[in-house]
Amino acid sequence: MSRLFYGRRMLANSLAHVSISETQRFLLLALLIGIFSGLLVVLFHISIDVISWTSLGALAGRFHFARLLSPAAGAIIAVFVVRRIFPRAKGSGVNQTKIAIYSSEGHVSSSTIAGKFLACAISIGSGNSLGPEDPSLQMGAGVASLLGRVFRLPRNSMRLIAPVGAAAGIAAAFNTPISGVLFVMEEVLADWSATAVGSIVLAAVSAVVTMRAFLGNEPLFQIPSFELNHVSELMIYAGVGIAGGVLSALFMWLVERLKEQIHELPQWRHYALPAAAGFLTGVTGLWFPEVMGAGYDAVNSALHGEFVWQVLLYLALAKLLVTLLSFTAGTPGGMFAPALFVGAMLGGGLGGLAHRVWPQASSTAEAYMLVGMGAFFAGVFRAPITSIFMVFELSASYVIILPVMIANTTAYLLSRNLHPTPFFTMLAELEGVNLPSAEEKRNFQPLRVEDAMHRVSAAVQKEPGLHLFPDEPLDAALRLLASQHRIQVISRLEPHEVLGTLTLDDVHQAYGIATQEVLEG
Amino acid sequence: MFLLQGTFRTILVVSAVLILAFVATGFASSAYHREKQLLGEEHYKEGQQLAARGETEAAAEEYRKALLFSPEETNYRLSLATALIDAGRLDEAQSHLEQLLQEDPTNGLINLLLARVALQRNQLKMAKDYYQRAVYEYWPASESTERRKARWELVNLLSRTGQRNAVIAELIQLYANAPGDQQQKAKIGFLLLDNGAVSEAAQVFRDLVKQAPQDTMAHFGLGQVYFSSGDFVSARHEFERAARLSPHDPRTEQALALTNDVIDLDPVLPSITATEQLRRSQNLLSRVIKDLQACPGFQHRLDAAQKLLATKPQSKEDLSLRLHQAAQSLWHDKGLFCGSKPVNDRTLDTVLSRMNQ
Repeated sequence: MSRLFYGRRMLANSLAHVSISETQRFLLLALLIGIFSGLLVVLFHISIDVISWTSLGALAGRFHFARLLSPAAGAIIAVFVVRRIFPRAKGSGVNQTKIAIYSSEGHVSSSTIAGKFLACAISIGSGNSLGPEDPSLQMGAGVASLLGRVFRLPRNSMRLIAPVGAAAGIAAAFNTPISGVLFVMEEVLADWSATAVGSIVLAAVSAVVTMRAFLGNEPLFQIPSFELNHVSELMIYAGVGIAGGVLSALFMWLVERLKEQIHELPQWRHYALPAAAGFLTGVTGLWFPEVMGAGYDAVNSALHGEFVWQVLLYLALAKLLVTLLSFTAGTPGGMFAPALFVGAMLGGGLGGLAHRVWPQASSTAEAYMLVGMGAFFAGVFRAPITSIFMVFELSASYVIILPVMIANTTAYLLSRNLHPTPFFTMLAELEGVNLPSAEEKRNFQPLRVEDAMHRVSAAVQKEPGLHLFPDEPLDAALRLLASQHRIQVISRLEPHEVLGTLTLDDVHQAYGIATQEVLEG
Repeated sequence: MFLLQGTFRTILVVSAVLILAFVATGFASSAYHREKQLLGEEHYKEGQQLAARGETEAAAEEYRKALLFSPEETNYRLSLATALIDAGRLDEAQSHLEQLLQEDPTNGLINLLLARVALQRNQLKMAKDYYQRAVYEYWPASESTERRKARWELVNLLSRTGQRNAVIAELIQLYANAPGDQQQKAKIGFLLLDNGAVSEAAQVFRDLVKQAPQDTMAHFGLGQVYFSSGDFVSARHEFERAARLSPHDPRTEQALALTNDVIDLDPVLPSITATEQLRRSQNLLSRVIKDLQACPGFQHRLDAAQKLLATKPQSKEDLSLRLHQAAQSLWHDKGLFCGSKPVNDRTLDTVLSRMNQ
């Protein structure tokens, strides 16, 4: 006994003497978060598949009506789990994670992890047209938050740790580490600080490695080889981008309208609507079983030319409809997989049509599926960089980059024009939550010193004391003006050259003008 | 500070939980993979049964399901591609095969299947490339017959596109790697002969006769070789041997009859007398005149030939020479007046072709 006690003390002492920086400790924790999130995603994936084999495979083999009723039954059970057992697990995973980061200092309760896991595994596994990535993201954030609490992280670190888990969760779910990292950077954080990037990358990589260790190295899609037949083909890809942009804006508009209408309905809606959406999914599944569940298998089949272009377009529309119904009805599950499905089928359908009309210059439908996937994703989620890298990561082809960039940027810009509010911001607004939009953050142009300073006409002698450069943010100037009532602005190239002066009044005036412009705008 | 601020117990508990989570996930995932593999195998077997019954569409569907459970199984994908080719769904088949080829570019079977897809699409150049890769890339030792099958298909394609030299080269390779199958060797010999590789064909049949002196096909083939090279006496000798081994074989009987006719008609056969040579030359020219009688615009030349036939011989050798030269000239120009009229008199054609060589 005493030997054991002595051993523990030795270990504790040696640990106490290990000198590692705060950043290194944070990275170590990120590694741990990645591993735990990876394990959780593996179990989540297995659960979805097992439920799906039972409800849509074995059961549907014995009873034909099982396929029809399975999504409805699954939706009711999943809603019950969320409403009665784990009420904290409701809502969009991305938005709930953002709420945790911005309003509850990164705190995601453990019951959220359990609730998301159970409810989403049941709803997706039973055939509802939703995806596992958004719940995985929130579960990853939950794991991070839990580990943060276990290790008694300080409050400022807790807020940083949730996105690390989110990246791990989504990277493991998609099996694409780069996209996972980029999505969290683009959508959840809109922040590129070195510590955040380092720990997010580490968590994403360790989560994907853990996931692959258990589920294998098979990519999400079996991608056939891609090649650009002719430069003029880029026009068709731009066309896919236009279609993706319009359809994504229409989809968001429909989600918004339906969600608004649903809010007016009485309480019975919480169970009745998911059940009805599930039933309609089952009915659609009688003709197009591909639309049930996440739909990755169908995308794989389509990528190998199983469907003609007309069927691809039907599948895109059918999936769009059932996803719209399931999502707006409040059935637990995410939107990423259905968005990839719709985009793939839309791109494939249009590409197939182009190949039929213009066979010499255009590739087969399969090449357009990947591009369509990225375009619709960029249009809905307004994460253009993620969408480009995701397709790149999935296809492992450099040739695809150019078409993807054209299509995704077109879709992104068009969708932003037609439906200015980004998807997750719109959902937050519908739920009455005011969350910072990552896209708005990116587009926000902060005032700089040069916007407020008084330019000097003649050469002025440089004074001793603090100085500013013209490109520095005005916020930085405010801090300096607390200790010095007038600051000279100097050139970066010629540090002795004074370009202007700045006072507190100038700053106030600049902010005043900016505020006025915003109000007028 | 948190990692070290956290008590030793916390680190221990988290480590224990991590180990437990690994063990639990390991158990769950191995059970999951086992189940997936079983489901995949079930569908694969079902697919094989359906394919054996010729229900290719249903078989493809089962193979596709098998592949959903085990996407890394090359056999499942290959079977799916084969079923899709049989069902005529070439685009899908090609897509799966190209994916397999990306993973294993030197696989002979995948190249062979892609060649078949290209052939069905009439993309002959592409089919030839894939066949050549199928022939020269990797095959497991147990599937050496498949490589030969691929080479045979390549030979057929090359014959179809009229690439005689390439056909001969492939046939020689086939012969060099052929097992002890006499029939296949004889087939190679006949194809060599058809493609004009007479000496190579002669070698094949001589080997066959040496290996199996009682083989009708070997003697018949050797007879054909001699016949093609104009050695009608040796050809008759081989055909007679073949006829003795298979007395009622109609093919041998026909070949023997033709050879006998040719020998009877040939005016340049060595060791015949001048009188016999003149008789044969007269016979040859009169058969040519008879054959070309129906062709318009030929009459004046046929009349001249009739006059030559009625000429009294001053020197039998000279007249013989003039007669068979006239016969050769008429036969040579018959295309000008008769168009692509099919050959009625095969004996005559053989003799005159031989004399023109």
